[in-house]
Amino acid sequence: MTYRSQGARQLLLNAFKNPKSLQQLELHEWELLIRCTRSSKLVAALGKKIEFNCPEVVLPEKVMAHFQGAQQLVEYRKQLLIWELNRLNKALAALDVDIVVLKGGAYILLDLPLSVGRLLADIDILVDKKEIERVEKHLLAQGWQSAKLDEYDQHYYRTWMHEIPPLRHQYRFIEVDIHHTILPLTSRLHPDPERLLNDAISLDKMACKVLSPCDMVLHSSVHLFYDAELKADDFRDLVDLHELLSFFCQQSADFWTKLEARSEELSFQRPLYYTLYFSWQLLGTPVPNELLIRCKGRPLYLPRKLMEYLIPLALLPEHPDYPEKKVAFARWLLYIRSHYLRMPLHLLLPHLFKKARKRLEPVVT
Amino acid sequence: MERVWSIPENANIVIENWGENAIIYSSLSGETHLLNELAYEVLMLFQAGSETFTTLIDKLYTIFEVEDKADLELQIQKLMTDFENLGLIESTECEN
Amino acid sequence: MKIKDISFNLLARKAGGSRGLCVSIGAFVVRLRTQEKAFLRTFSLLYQDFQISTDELVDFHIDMRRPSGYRRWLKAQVIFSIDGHTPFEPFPLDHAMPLFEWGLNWCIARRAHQYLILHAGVVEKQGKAIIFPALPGSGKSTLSAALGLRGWRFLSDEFGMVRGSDGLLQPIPRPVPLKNESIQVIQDFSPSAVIGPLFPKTRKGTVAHLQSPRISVEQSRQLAKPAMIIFPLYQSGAETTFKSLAKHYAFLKLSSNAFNYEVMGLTGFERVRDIINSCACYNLIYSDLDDVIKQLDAMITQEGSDDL
Repeated sequence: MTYRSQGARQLLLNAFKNPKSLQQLELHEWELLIRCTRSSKLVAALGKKIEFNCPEVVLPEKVMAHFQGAQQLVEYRKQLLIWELNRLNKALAALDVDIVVLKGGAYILLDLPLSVGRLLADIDILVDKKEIERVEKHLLAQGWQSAKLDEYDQHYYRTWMHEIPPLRHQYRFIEVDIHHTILPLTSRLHPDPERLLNDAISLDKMACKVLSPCDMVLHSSVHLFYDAELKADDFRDLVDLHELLSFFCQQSADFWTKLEARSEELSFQRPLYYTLYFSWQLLGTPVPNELLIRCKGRPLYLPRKLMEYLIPLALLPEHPDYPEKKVAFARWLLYIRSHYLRMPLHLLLPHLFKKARKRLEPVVT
Repeated sequence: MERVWSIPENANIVIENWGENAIIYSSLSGETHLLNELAYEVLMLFQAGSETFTTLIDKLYTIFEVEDKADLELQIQKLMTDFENLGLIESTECEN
Repeated sequence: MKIKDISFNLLARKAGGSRGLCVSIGAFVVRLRTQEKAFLRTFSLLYQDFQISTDELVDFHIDMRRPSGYRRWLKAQVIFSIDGHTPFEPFPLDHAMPLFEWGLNWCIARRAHQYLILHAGVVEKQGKAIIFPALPGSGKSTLSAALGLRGWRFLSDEFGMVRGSDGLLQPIPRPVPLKNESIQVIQDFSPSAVIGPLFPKTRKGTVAHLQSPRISVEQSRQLAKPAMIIFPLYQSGAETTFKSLAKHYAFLKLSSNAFNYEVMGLTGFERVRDIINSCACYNLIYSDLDDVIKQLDAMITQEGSDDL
C-alpha cells in the first residue's frame, strides 16, 4: 500500500495519539513516519513517547538508530539550555528584578514531561518593561553581547516587536531573548504583561520564575494561533500544547475552569478555542466537550469551518514526495493572516516590502 | 561567615587522569577541560567534600609542601574563579 | 544484487522513477532519484560494487535535479535536495558527482549522532583498525586509499564512525575524492586503480574519485575495533617518522577533530577516552607511501601481540 499526503498525515497523528498501534507498522510505513516526523522536528519526541508509554513496542534496528541520532541532538540542546539558565540565574541573582522564563526554558525548569525529546531553541525571558534596560545592561556587563543587526532590524525590534535584539554570551551558543510583553506591540491583542508577572511562580533555589500553568498554556496558544505562520514545523507547538494540557488537567481537577476564566481575563478566548479544538481534534486531548461548545472564543460558523479546513492542512507535514498545491495555498493564506494579526495594515505592507527587498539585495548587487 | 565551596549538585564530573595531566567532562556545562596537576588536586578535594578557602589552602599546603604560601593562595584564588566560571564549583554562604 | 549486476538502462529507469534507486552505503540506505544520465554513469562506475537495497528502511532520500523556472535556461545546473529541502546553492551540471558526495557527507554529519563522527580515514588489517584523523590537506585520504589498494580493508577516507553504544568503527567505504596532485600519485602508485572523470575547478581544486575496493564494500557491515591512532602529515621529501603522543594531548587532538564531539556529550567523552586508552597514539610525517605502508604492516602485526 502506498501513501499519499492524507495517509502520511494520518500515520503521523496516529503515532502520537496511539503509539501502541505502531507495533503493527511495516518497515516502509516506519520510513514514511520518520520522514514526516522529521519535517516537524519531532523524531526524538516520538522516540521518547514510545519509550515511556509503550516500551513493549519492538522497534526495528534502523528506526532505533534514527531515534538515537535525533535524541542525541535534542539532549545536547537541552544541556546547553540548562547551562545557560544556570549562568543566567547566577548573573541575575544579585539584581532585584522578577525574571520569568518562558516556553522551553520553563519546561526544563519545571522538568515537565514534554521537555524530554523536544528540540529546544533559545531562551525567552519576560521582565517588566521598566526593568528591561537594567537587565540588558547587567547582562552586557557580564559577557553577553547584542546580536549585530542592521539599523532597520534594530529599529524594527525595539519599536514594533515585543523584545530587544537577542543577547548571546561571548563563549556560548544559546540566544537569550528578553521580552517585556508576549505579543508584538502592534498586535491586535494587548495582554497586560503585569498580570502575567503577578501570577508567575517562584522556583526552589532559583532567581527566575515561570508562568502559572494557565498562563503557560495561554502564552503558547497565543504564540501558535496569533503569532506563528502555521507551517509544518509549527505542528510541534500543537504537540506541546497537547502535552501541557494533558499534564496540567491531571494535576488539578479545576484546571479547565481556571483556564477558561483566565483566558477571559486576558482576552485570549480565541486562541484558546483554537488550541482546545485542534489539540482535541488532531491529537485526542481530553478536553471537556461542553467547554468547546460554550467557549467564548468560538468563531462564527463560516470562519470556524475555514480554519478547521486550513489549519490541519497547513500545520501537518505533507508526504515529502508528493507536495500539494492546496497545502502551499493554505500556508500562504495563514502566513498573510499571521502578519495581518501582528501589524496594522499601514505597517504591514511596508514591512513585507522591505523584507522582500532585503531578500533580493544579494542577487541585485 | 565564610563562603563554602562545593561541586554543584547537578554537575556530574567525569575525570580521566593520565599522570601529570587530567581531562575532565562536566555534564552541567557539557564542556571538556584539561587540568594540570594543581587543578586536578583541587578538584579531587572538592569531589571529596565542600571546602572553604582556608581549609582548601591548608590541605594543599600539606600536599604540595610549598614554601611560598602567599603565591599558592594567589594561584588558588585565580583557579577558584576559573572553576566557578566553568560551573565546576559554586559557593554558598554559611555560618560556622 | 550489486549496481554492476544490472544494465545501465535498467539503472537509469530505476533512478528516474518515483521509487528511485536505493543503494546500501555502509550502515545507511540512500534513495537516489535523478534523470541525469552522465552523473548516473559516473555514480554507477564508482559505486559499482555497492548493493542495491530492497525491503530496507531508507535513511536519506536524495534527489539530484535541474532547477525549475527561468534558471534552467541560463546555465545547466543541478540541485541536491533531501526530503524536498535544498540545503545548498545549485552546482554546474557537470559537477553533479562532487555535489552528491559533498551533500551526502553533510546529511550524515548532521543526522547520524548515534555515532561519534571523527573527521578521519580508517583502515583495518588482522581485525585491528587504524584511525587517521586529520584536517584536509594532510594526506589522510591518499594514505587511506593507498592502504586500501595494498590489501588493507578500507573503511573510510572521511568519516571515522565510532558507534556510540560500543565504540566499534562502522565502515562507510565510499569512493575517495582525490584532489589535485593526489590523483596522479594514486595512479602511479597503483596503475590498475579505477579513477573516475576529472572535475576541474571545484572548491577544492581538481577532484577525481577512486572507485571503492570491492572487498571493503562487501564487508561494509563488519565493524572494526580501533587499535592505533595516527595523525598523519604529508611533507614533501620527508622521511617516514612516527612520534609517540602523550595521552592527554591525543585526547584533545582527537576530540577537537570530531564533527559532533559536543553533541555527543558524555558519550563523546567516553568514546574518545576509551579509544585513547586502548590505542597506541602517534604523529606521523611522511612522503613515501610504500615506505609508510611497509612500516604500518610491521607495526600492526606487532600491535597488541605483547599482550598475548
